[in-house]
Amino acid sequence: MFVLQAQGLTKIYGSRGQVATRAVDNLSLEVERGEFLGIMGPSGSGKTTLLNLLATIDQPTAGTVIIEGRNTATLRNDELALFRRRRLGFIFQDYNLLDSLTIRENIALPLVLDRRPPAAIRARVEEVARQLGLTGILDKYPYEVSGGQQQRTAAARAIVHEPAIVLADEPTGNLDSRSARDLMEVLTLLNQNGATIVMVTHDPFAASFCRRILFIRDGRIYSELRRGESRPAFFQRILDALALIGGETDESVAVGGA
Amino acid sequence: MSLWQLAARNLWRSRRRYLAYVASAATAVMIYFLHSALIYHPDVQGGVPDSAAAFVARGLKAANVVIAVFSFGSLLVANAAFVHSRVKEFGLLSLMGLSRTQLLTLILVEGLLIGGVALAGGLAAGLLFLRLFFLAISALFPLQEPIPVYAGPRVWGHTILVFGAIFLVVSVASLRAVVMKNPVQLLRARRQPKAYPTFSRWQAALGLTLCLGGYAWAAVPRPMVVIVGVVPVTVMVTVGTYLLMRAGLVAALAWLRRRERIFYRPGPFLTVSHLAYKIQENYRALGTVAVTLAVILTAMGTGLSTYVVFVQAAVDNTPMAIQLVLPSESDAAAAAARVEAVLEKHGVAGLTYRKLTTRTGKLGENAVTLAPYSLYATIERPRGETLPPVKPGEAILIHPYIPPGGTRPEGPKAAELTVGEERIPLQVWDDMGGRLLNPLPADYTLVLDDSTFAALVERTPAAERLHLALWTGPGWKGRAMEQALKELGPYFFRTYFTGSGPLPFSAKLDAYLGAASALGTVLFIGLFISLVFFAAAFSQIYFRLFTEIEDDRRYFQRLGQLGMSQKELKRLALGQAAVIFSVPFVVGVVHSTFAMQALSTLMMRSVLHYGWMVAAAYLVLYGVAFAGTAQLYWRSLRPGLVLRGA
Ligand SMILES: Nc1ncnc2c1ncn2[C@@H]1O[C@H](COP(=O)(O)OP(=O)(O)OP(=O)(O)O)[C@@H](O)[C@H]1O
Ligand SMILES: [Mg+2]
Repeated sequence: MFVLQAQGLTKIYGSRGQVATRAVDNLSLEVERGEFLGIMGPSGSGKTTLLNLLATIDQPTAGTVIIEGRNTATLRNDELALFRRRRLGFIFQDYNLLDSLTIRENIALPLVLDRRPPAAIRARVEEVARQLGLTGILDKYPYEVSGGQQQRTAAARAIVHEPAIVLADEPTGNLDSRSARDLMEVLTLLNQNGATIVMVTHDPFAASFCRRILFIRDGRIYSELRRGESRPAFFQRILDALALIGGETDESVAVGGA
Repeated sequence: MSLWQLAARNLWRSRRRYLAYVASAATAVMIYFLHSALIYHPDVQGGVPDSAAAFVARGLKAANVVIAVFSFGSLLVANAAFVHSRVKEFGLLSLMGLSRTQLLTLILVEGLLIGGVALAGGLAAGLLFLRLFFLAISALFPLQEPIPVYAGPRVWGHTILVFGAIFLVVSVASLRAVVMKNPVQLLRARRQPKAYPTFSRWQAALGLTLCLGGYAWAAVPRPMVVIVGVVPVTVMVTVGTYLLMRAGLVAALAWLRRRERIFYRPGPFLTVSHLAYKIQENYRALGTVAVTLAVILTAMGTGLSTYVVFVQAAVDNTPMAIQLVLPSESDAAAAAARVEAVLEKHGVAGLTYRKLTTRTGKLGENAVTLAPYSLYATIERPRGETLPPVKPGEAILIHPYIPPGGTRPEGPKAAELTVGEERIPLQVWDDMGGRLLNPLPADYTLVLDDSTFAALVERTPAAERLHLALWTGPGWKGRAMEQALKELGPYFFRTYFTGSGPLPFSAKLDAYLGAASALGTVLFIGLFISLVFFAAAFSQIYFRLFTEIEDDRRYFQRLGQLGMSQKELKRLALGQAAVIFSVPFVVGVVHSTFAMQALSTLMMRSVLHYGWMVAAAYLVLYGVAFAGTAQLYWRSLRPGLVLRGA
């Protein structure tokens, strides 16, 4: 069964006389329950926009998003909010941490919104913080910690409530290779426990943890790769595919391909 | 695009932010205009110098000076804050090629445009309320005839000149924020993520100590202590308020934050953390507003208490609806007939006529007017109980003032009454239940048993007798009585007043109206000034709220993306705004409560409830203003929240 379906999704930015951008152009995709899907593509190809549409925090110009069998266009506002809160974890490209909350409180936010008991919240936050190496900075504020730590905080917040679907927008963009590996292992574990993961990335190494990768260009699906063999071999095929697709990904390969 | 267009467009874009500022400036203009209309009114300028209207006009003149000075100060602060909040925008403009001169002109033009709008709005509102204002003046004060509505060129000229100058100076002064800086410095003013406010325990403790110390001082039940404390307590509490608004609030919120059971729920979690985060930039405004509100509430509470207490005292002091004091028996008879005729002509009912022929004497130090027990027993008095009948050799001494503590009778004490050459030993009870008669030169009243009294008066030579005609009863009030008094008072003064000796004519209603109009004037003027202060205070928090709206929008947007529904966001946003607005109000009410407690000590009776009444009235006003602001705030916030369908 498909946990996430997009049919004919289109998002056009810029109206009123300006040149319109088709950030996502008549795109359809299906994600199975328990899948670990990667999305790659050049900068500006519409990845973030697509993820936002899937997360229902943006409204498509045309097309439908179906989550767990329900068309999101027919859901009420508060039903959508509840869905985002309970079932969804989102790692934002720009982290989206709240400046007024400590790292601990930022991570705890989804649990608090879900009215979990304080003791359970504390235990769970500390567990996730340990997995992502955040234990030492829990009582600092976002502006007091590094970009990578902020990114890991965003990741911790996205998985703390063990959501059914995790949407991750470049979760390793600011991490060194060790932290990146740690995060990918956490996501993999989550995936093995049943969560569906959709991850946008420029980083072939991170992408090699996925089971399937969609390549996007100009808002459309360009090609698809499935992982069958070992991860190193998959990593090579990703590099080949990226070379083929061209665009700005070349430099990100140089940066992130370590 | 010309600078004027650019300026107008800038203002229009942030019109909601400027709204409260313009509204409060316009309120000041309006009230200044209305006051001027009375001050320069031809009837007042050329009219009777000591008429009620002239009296009010003098007060309004002083009020106008206060309003002008206060407006100048608060507009100066507010305008500087506006320019400061837009420094980054100005930096961008200068990077885009606006020269320094152009930039300064732009800021100046914006300031003048705002000033112009406020001035025009204030004058328009003034014109709108002009008729109502004159109606109120005529209704509140006993004037011979209503003052006609007036707003001559001097009124306009004066208002425009004064506020034009204020707006000009304020706009020029606001250039300071920009004039000495280059574009890079301007851009650097861009907001970084704010540092979370750290707080010092020491400051919180000091703030608390200062406030509590001030409260304790104000609550000491000794008038001398209170009087000495007025200035130091005001300073202590003001400084304490600012300290508490920062360190105290941060400490309180930090404490809440450690209480997991309270804190780990959606509302408290987000509200407490967000308020703590915002305190650094808001505590000054909160402190100022709290102190201003405390001043307003205390001033109005004092005005109201004074009004009620003194009007009551005037009424208590004049128990007789009408009291005539006449030189001879025949005069008294004729006068009584005349009064009865005039009362009947005007249709006054509910008064009983009593005749009293008496004399004065001395009881120890006190000059007393004698009265028979039968009169004492049948006349209603302000307070206290009528004492039981006196036998020969006994008497009741009625004191002219009611002591604040109570009206308990005391006695008997031995005393000696001197009338003419006679000395009469008496056992005297004290009665502190208020006057029996309207004020007389012999101000105490000594009540004797009827036969002793009659015998004493009988032995008095005709020249020493006093002839009183008295009217008592519930009919002392009302329109008809007022008309009758207008006819009677001047006649009796003309006919019988000799320049010394007892007043030939006195009436309760006259005493009441005299006190009410003099104190009412003070209250009326105070009310108008307080409205200007109130508007300025409110606009301060309003401005803080709208200055941070971009940050707030980003904040709520993120929460929306994390799964809070529109409804929850609205509740959260309005709840946070409500907390920000209510903190200074609550602090202001607490401050003013202690001030009213001190006033109670000075007035020797509790006036706390007048303080509550004033606070309740301002709460309604504040609540209405907040409700409007909250709607506007949410309407400004909502479009940016990228949610479904947005
Ligand atoms: N709010 C917006 N308004 C107008 N255009 C936008 C907006 N957001 C994105 N775009 C445009 O839509 C296109 C896709 O943007 P998107 O952010 O989805 O790219 P992306 O694939 O995530 O890029 P990157 O890898 O750099 O994050 C871009 O051309 C971008 O300029
Ligand atoms: Mg992106």
